[in-house]
Amino acid sequence: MNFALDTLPQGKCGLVSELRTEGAMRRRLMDLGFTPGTRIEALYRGGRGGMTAYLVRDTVIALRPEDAQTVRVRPCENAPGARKHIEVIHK
Amino acid sequence: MRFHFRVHGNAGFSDQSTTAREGETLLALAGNPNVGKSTLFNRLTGLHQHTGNWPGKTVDSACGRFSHAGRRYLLMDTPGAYSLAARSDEEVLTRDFLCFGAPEAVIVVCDATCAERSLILALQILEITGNVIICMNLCDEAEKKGIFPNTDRLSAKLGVPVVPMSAARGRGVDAFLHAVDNLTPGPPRPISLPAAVETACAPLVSLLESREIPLPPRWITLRLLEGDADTLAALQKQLGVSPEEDAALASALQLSREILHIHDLDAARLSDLCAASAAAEAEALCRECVRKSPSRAALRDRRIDRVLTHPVWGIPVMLALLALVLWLTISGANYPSALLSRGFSWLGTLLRDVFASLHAPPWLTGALLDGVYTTVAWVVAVMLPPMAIFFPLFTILEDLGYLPRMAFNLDGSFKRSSACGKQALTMCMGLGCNAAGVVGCRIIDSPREKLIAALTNSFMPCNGRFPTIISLIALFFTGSGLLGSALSALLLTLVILLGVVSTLLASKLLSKTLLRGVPSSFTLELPPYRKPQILRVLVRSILDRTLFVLGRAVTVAAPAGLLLWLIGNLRPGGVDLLQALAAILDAPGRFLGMDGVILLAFILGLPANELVLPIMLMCYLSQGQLTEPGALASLGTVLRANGWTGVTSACFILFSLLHWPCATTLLTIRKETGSWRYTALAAALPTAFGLIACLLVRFLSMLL
Repeated sequence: MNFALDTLPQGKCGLVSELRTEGAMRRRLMDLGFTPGTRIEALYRGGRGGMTAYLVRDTVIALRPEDAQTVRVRPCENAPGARKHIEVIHK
Repeated sequence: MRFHFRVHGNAGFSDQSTTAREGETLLALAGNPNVGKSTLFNRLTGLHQHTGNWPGKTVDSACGRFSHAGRRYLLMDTPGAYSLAARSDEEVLTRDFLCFGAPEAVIVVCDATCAERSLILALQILEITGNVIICMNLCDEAEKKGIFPNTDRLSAKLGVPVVPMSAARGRGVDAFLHAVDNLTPGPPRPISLPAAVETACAPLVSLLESREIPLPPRWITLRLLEGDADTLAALQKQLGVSPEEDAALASALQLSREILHIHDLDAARLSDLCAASAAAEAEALCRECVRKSPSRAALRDRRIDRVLTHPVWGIPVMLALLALVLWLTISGANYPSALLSRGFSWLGTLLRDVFASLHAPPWLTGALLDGVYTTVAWVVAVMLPPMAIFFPLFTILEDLGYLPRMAFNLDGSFKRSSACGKQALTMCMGLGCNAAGVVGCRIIDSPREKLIAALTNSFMPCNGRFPTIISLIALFFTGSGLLGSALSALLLTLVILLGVVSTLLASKLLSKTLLRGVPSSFTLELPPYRKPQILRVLVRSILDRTLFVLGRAVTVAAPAGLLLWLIGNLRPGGVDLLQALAAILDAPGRFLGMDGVILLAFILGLPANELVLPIMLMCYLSQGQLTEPGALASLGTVLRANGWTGVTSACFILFSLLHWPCATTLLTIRKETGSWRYTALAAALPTAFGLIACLLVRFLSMLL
């Protein structure tokens, strides 16, 4: 099951499965670490039509909804929130 | 239509001062945006490159020198880049310098708090040269977040020195210098790619190996196969590697492509593979070399962000913060303003006595004292105190990491104007100086959106207009005391808000007419909050701003004062040129709710906005003298005596906010866009807004 990153609820995480965008933005996203298999957590959503901040490889990257839509993700197993995320890494 | 925006190819390192002298070793500083490159640069060279906690603070290369253990080094600070696959103008600068600027070694600064992402670029750089030192910066911050990089293990894995560091606190700098002294040239380290790709590369690699090219053949091969137009152009221009002009190269390239094709790969897939392999390798390295333990520090940022980027409260909180900073500025500036004003008047009297005792001719006293001294004193007395308070406060917000959050909050509005959220960052820079704001627009990737940001930057009141606006608000709309300064801060917030709204309107207007297009994709990094070193920021920033204002006073106000006095007093042909011009402009000036003198001051203030106020005063008092420079009371008396009312003042403030940018900004726009047409547009657009605003105020006041 595959869904768009912009539909990922706040506090949940997903694993990148593919990027449905080409050219400069595709490369930019990959350089920022949005590569297949990467774990991404939706942190917070801005106001109407605004950006959403995502946690990816220990950095916070904000994307517009239409750009987040091009990133397809699949659900993480037992999708943990931010606090659990750190604990999981520790284990 | 084509959008012209000059790419600053060689600009950063082609001039004389940046060329390595005899016996100097050329070093390049590189790394992701906002990892502390400029901080390390300042540490090493003793220079004062501006630093701030947001990606994109450095948009131009800077260079400085240092020596250690008897060796001399030339250090080049490059703008931050996420990758060598350059996308924006500043990244092109960095790519070109690292690949073609022939640095003897590259210092890659990594962020220990997000080592994985930082290492992606480090690995890409290691592909082009083995002469690399990696600085694992921000180790103190990482420690607080429970992240512990094992730099020795990383060094063993990568085959280059890795130095743990906290550049802001000076930790690790000695170890770094030691590594620089002992730098031994090493081979580049390729990122491993699937066997199919290696096979495909083979024909091109073996051909390129037979040529004398300063970059690793495998790296060039991969770029040729990826076929990115911009990179190909750079390879041709800098190295003369061009398949179009080189039959042997073309046929090898064709062969390599066919092999790729057999393995079901094309240029786009290959580009993906390169990026994904670098990321995977960085991930694997971190799994082995970075230990992470749970910490509350990482959650602290999330908690702050939940307030500052709240979908509903984010913008009100931002306005409240702005109002607070402005209130501190206004109430804090009162005392030093009064002090400066008294000091200048005392010094003026003293100078006058000295001139009198030396029996100086009246024209000399007039030119130097009434012309130069008075103008300089006014500019300094009005501009210095508020700016020396506002900017340190603003720098604290900047160092905390708040600016990218502002861009985050405002992006929805910018998107509705078909512009880019990063424009909020360039607007913040415009508060300091519009010319700097225009250069800062390089951080915006889309040429169309970059142009919009550059053309609308002067809607933000710069250093030269801000204090004048503050003075007039205090004079005509609010009183003194606590209530007065609070009210002033509120009104000033509204003025800046009007600038923001005008920026959005103008951006939308441009997007619908001359610069038609849809908002393009972009990414915005929100860096971790950092505790600013408040004392250092205050000292540094106050000093910087003072030097900036004083510098402007000497280079602009002094000659302008002399010139104006000469025009006003020499009266060629018996005509007072200033008064004659003001008389001509009186009708249009009054139509706009102002008068001829004000309009003339705006026109003559083209070289620098700081001049508008002194020019007005000189015209109003063509024979008299202003005894107390900067004193609000004397300013108010003069203005009211010349028929100023609340409406005049409101129109003046609006026109000050909304009129043509100063000459320096216009020239910068010309340089950045490469077009006089866009420069003219950048002048016409805010002026049109200003005309409309002034007319509105005037007609509304007539109705009331």
